Amino acid sequence: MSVGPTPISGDAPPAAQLQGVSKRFGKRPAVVNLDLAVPRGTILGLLGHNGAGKSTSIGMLLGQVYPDAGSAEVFGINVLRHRRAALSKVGAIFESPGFYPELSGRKNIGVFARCSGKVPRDRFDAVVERVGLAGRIDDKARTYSHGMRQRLALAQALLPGPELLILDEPTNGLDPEGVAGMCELIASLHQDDGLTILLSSHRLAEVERLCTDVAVMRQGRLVFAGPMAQAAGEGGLVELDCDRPAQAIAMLRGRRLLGDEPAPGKHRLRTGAEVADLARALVEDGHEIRAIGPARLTLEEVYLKLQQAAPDGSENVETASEARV
Amino acid sequence: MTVLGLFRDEWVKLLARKRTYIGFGAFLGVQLAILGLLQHPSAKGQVGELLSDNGLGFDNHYMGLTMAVVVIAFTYTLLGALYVALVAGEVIAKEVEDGTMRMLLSRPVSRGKLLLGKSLAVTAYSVLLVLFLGVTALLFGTAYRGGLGDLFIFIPEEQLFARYDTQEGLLRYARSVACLALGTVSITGLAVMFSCFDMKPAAATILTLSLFFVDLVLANLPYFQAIQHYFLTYHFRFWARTFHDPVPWPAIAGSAAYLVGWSATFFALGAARFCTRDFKA
Repeated sequence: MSVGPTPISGDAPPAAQLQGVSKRFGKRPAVVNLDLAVPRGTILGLLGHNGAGKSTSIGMLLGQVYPDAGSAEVFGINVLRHRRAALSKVGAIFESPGFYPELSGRKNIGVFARCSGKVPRDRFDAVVERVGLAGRIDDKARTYSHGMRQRLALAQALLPGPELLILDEPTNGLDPEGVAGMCELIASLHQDDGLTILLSSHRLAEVERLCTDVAVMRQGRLVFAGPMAQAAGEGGLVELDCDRPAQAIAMLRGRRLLGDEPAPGKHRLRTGAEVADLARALVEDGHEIRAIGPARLTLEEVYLKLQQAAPDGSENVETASEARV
Repeated sequence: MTVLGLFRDEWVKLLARKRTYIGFGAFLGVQLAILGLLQHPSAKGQVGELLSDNGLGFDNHYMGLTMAVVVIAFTYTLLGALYVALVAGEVIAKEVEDGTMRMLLSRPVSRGKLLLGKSLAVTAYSVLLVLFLGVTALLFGTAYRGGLGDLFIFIPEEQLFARYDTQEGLLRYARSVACLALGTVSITGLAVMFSCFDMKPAAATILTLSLFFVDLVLANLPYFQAIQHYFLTYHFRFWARTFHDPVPWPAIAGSAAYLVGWSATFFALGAARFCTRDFKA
């Protein structure tokens, strides 16, 4: 099965974009002046604590939540003004997908998929086969396990041949095998079928493994957005193992070669400094170097750092070009 | 997707649900119970006395047609409202509660169209329920008494006392069932309207029934006789007015217009809420 996305021209708009959107529920601000773009061809991981505004943002992209301000676009089409056109290339699944328990899996996804148009029989069979439900598709949905329901949800999202897939906590509640299977499927949909994917998740390891880009929300605001490699501080960090480490670090800082320590054991190189400069300085100072080399932050380290940062103000947002956590 | 397609899918869902059939089953049960009670000597005696006092033969008039009207008069007002509210009150609220509404709304289908498809489906269900009541009441009554017979009808509140031969009786019976169906549509509209608001399906059903019964009680209080034409349930009784001779067509048309007007208002209010509210987990 292939979903065949349309070719991307040079100035094509992002697959999905929120521009200056804000949303309050009662007195509580859920999303504050949010700008978020899902570039075509990426898997964007959307991270944030519970109540950070992830689901509200997804709701606005799908036209389910009306923003108080700003606009939501999918493939350059305004979702609120041209809902049908905007959502025609979108498939979505949610944390706890709802199904009609009295209907079979086949009838369930038929009900949802028909809202997007007619689905040829061979495509239906191919999608069901791909999500691994071929043997159970005629059973009633109430007999499905949580993992099967997630796969059924994915099938209904894929049936109309979307170019953008929005996945809101797709692996929540799954057992390890289920998580692995779902991750494999998501990776395949991106790599083999060229789908752009927006993946909201709490599972940092899963996001780190799957996503090409990441966006982090905190208290309704975007605090980071950019490629995964830059989120991890590629090129700017160093890990070192030597004797008398505390003295060594103090010496390197004194010589203005090292900056702060954003994560335990990982130090930021000062502008212009190279790993070779560090090695030379350590040897000159009589230290025995056991290991020294470039380091990367894990997504967990990046995420926790961002969540600890000051919460207010759009000036807080870091983009790929200035991502230094 | 067309409204017809949405309507068809809604029927697929309705037919798969057990509670869709509760109304049909309950009507059958209650009909049998009423027919059984009407065979009791005291019931027979009272009707027989009434008929003989007016020069009408018992065996000719205590038959299928008359039984059907009596069954409808007893069952429709209370049970009809209950089962229609039960199904129509769920049409949106249950899907929101179960999470299927978000799945539907992630599709390229307009909210208005979606609501229209759903509303038409539950309206068709309500009409079908009333037609089922009308047909089965006639079938059971006829089977029970061994024939249709002539129609005898006596409703004091409507100052209605009439008899018709079988053919005329059948025609009037069919008209009255059609009027009942129209009345049911307004209960459907009320329940759909509440279902569109942010509430549980049970709350939508209970609110519908509460309003319906309050309206029913107020419409029948003597203090409000001068303004009873403002009450919805007063106009529900127009099904019985089709048995008057001559038929008061202007009054019937007025009641029909009143009910249609309120039904449209309920649907419009529900649609306004459905199309503007946020749907979130």
